[in-house]
Amino acid sequence: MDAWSWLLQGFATVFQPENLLLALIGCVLGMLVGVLPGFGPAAATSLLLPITFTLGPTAAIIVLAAIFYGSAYGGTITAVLLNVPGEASSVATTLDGYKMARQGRGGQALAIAAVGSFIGALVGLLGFVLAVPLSQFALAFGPPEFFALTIFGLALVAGLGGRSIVKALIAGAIGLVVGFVGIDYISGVPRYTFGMPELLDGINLIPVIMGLFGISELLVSIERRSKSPQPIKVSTIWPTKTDFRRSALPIARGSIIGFFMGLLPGSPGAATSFTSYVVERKLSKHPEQFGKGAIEGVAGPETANNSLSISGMIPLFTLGIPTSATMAIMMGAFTVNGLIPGPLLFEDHPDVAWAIIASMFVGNVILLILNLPLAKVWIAFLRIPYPMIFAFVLGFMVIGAYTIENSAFNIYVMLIAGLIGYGLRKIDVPLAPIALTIVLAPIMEQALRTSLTISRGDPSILVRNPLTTVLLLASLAAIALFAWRGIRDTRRQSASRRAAAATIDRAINHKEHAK
Amino acid sequence: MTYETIPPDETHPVSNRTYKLANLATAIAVTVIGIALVFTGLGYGLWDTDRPGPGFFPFGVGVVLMLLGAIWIWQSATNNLLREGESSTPDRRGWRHMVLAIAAIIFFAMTVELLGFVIAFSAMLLVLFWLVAELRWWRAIIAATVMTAFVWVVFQVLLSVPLPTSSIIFLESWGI
Repeated sequence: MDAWSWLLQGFATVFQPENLLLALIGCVLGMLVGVLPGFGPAAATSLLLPITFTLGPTAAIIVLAAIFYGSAYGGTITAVLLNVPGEASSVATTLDGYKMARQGRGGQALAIAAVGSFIGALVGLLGFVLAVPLSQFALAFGPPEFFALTIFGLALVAGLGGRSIVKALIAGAIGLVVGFVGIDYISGVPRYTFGMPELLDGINLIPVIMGLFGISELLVSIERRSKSPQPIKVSTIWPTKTDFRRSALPIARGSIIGFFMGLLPGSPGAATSFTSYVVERKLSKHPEQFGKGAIEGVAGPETANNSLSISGMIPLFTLGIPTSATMAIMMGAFTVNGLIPGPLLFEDHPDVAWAIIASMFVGNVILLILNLPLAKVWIAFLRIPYPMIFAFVLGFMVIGAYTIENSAFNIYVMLIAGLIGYGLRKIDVPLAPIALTIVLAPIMEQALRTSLTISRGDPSILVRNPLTTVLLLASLAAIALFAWRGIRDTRRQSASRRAAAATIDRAINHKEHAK
Repeated sequence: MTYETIPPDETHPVSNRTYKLANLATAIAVTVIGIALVFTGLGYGLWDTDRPGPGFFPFGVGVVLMLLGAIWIWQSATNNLLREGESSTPDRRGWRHMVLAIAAIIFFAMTVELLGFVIAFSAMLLVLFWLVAELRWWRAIIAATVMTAFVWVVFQVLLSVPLPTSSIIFLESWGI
């Protein structure tokens, strides 16, 4: 069967009432996540991981994917009405979206963002369908290629995740260490179990991820006194003809920018929407209107971040390499259900893979409906006090962790991971590389050990093939580049700190002289 | 003014000195873990007769962690750290909320098998809604009751995941 007939069959699966309901639930949850500042898609998908056990793989991934792309829609609402980005990727939207809301055009900003998001997502999906045959190419990959590919993905995610490459790489190594615990599947030797029988099967990755992303994010949220926000009132929703005309090209360009940037590991949501924003300002006939409520400044970035939210899944589905924390969590959902994302997914379980892709088409239609006629419902939701929502989510996570194996042990694992994640956030250690290596650890270790077994210990097997050589060299180059950038930024920071100190000194001297 | 944005959260920025010390402590911990991995890796065996042994990968990761940890220690000691934004510490109320939330979770984990889901969960939620989210007590009771019922329906009825009942016979006979 070719791709299109599989896709049709996928639609048949999605239109079963049960799956349709799950897509709807995922979209609604994604919207809520988007609307809540300080609660991102990684935390939300981790929150629902335990439930995916009982749902089965197709249904589980449909829900998780819907949360991921749904959150890209929801982030807009707070950006426009509160000047607070619900997600990092909607930071660019606050620049003009909030100004539009203050001019009484908040409804139009939201509507254009919804339309742009929908088109961006469709472009992303089309690209997804066209990219699937490329996964055939990855079928020929052996262990050395997979090892090189995971190293490459890790190098880029580490470099783009934070400003310090040292901290990011350490984060990656910590994730690997978590993966060591348990019986080594090749030799049968238990490693790092400290005599605890609970650890023989390894640390369950679900509570670890729930803790690192969910609990730590909630702790950051409850530690501060958030004041309840007052959203700007919205009257009309429907944009004018001029609005549509001015937005058409930014939406088209945003779709393309978002699609290609989404393919990069590190899925830089904020960077993508800013790229689109800058491009629109450069190409605009009235760049002076940007920052003062130009609709192009909402249309472009919002489209780009939704196109990215779809194309960001392509590397996971076709190569089996997660490119962001949320994708790593999705990979976890695949593996706990006994499926391995990557080229073999389309060979062995095409029904699952295509049903998920079809669900994204349906999900985006649902989101368009949720965002155009029902926009005011979400605005009403903004009035629920945040602490109450956080308490609710915390309770849900605890019972979720318990039900994974009906044991309190996983609650403790989640809590410890949460505290570690909280601490690491405070000292700017990025968490995305940890999520990546936690799920990739077994694949990386197996790929490396199998490669060396094949070559009888000769490490040159890792660079014998041009592809692996290029990937490993590119990884080295990326790490060197990010390290250089870090050194440069550190110098600048200390220079500006010295300058600030000098200014203060001068001011104090001046005051004393004046006396 | 009708167009006011959210007032900024009250935060207590971490001083550069505290930030540096926290970095240094973590860097040392990471380096120690690296060293431990190297030695345990050697213990598990780097090489079987014809292939890498169970200690091979931990050993390699240990070496990498040791090197990176050493760089991080150097960066912290010489003030070559890059700060991203302003990390902040909670104020007193923030600390109280965090400690209470963690205590409530530990209470649930310790008592769920003894008291059963219904009692342990609603007790935890009561603390979360009343003391952490600072709802008024009667609202907290309503919220905790409604959410316990909601979670029970989702897991027990919709997902058919059994939730634990109390191991105290008196309570179990009531079905909770």
